[in-house]
Amino acid sequence: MQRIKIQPRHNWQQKIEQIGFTFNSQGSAYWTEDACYRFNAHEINKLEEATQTLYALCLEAVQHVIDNKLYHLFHIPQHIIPFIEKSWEEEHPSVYGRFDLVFDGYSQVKMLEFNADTPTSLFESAVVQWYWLQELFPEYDQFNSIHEKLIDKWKELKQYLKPGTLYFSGLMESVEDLTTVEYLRDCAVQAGLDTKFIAIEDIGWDFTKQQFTDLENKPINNIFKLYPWEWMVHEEFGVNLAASAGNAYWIEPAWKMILSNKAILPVLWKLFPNHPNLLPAFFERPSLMNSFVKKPLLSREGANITLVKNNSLLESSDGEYGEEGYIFQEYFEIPQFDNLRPVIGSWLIDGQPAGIGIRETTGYITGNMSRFVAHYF
Amino acid sequence: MKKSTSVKLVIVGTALSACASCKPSEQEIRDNRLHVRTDTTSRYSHGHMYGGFYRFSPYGFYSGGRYTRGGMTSNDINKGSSSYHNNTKRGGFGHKGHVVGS
Repeated sequence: MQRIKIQPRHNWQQKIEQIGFTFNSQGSAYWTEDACYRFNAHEINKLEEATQTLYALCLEAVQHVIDNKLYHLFHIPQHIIPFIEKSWEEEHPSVYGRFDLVFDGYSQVKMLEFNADTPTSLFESAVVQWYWLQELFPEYDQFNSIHEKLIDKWKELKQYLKPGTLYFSGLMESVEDLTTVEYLRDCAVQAGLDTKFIAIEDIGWDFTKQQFTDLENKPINNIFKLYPWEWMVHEEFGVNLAASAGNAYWIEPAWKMILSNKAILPVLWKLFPNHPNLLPAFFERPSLMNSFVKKPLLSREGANITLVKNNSLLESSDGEYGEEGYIFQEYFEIPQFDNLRPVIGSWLIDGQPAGIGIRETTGYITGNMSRFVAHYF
Repeated sequence: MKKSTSVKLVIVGTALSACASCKPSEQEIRDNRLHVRTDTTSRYSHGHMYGGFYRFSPYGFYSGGRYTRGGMTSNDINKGSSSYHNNTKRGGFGHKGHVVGS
């Protein structure tokens, strides 16, 4: 694993905008072309194997949480538990997720967390870096079959989904979110599915039929939402989710509420202590643990994180999360390449490792100011 | 081979690149408006489009001295003016945050 400085493509900003990547220019540079990461096949295989292994552990952990009714550890409201269990028992469809991994090329791959419900950076991982490779290094490979796997998954779901349209929903204020939703819809259209976009705030609730509806008051039977479960269950319509459970498939399914919560980290560590791909994590900080990362159960974009090394504050981030409590994960030194720290987003499509996208930052916390850097091998 | 053999887009390339190629006016930049080409929304709306674009701007309301974000709206899209329609209520999701990205 090497970080290589390269010459950016001529007119690269225009090129990425032409394929639909528009939010790069709306703030600081996010997609950059002055460097890339080069792996060898052995390193890529290690990332792929770790991703597969971690997902298997996560599924076992979900079963454990459900069997032992550990919902209180996750601060999941009581009223939504039957909805979660139904989605798990009936194997409601799951399309994607992203592990955030740390790797230096030779040591064990370590998991920082699992973005199981609403991961973004999908479009740049699946499409933008693929086009970058085709132009700069067409003779090389890339760990990135995300696009093909997404189309295959939607094709498979065509037989499984309830009759009617597959809706795609999210917040319209964020171009990043909208890009993710529209990209997933694009793949579904290519798979032959009938799709519609609906803004999350436009979803209706028909209180006589007890079902969610679109803007024409047609029932929503299948819906992908890029909107966190933990927000949905606490909003006005959250109480209607259980009532609609028999009428609609929600993608990602409700059981992802367990995996997208940082409480899964100490649960995993307790179930699989000393597993080489896991970091020690606890609900209460052990007295001898003097280097740790304090993470809210629910947070996004690296918000409300505190890093302590040898009992000294290393870095912390602001935010509005933490109300539900925190977990403590053992501090792990992220390897530096050119004084930058890369975190590898490893994608799962249909439960299979599908590719990676690398974000790097000068600090310790990968947040919304990090840079996306392409890779090849 | 671990890379996709081909990557083609049927919606995103046109719909989202239009967000960037549509140049907002100075006033629209000040108003923080988002432009979304009609490909994105036309499947659920029946409004009129102007030059291929709907214009969205944030809306909300003040109550008890506190501002509540309503979401994004566009006069170009027929969304109805009431949150109730027959037996259906809208607006029960979408008020917890502005960006989901994770």
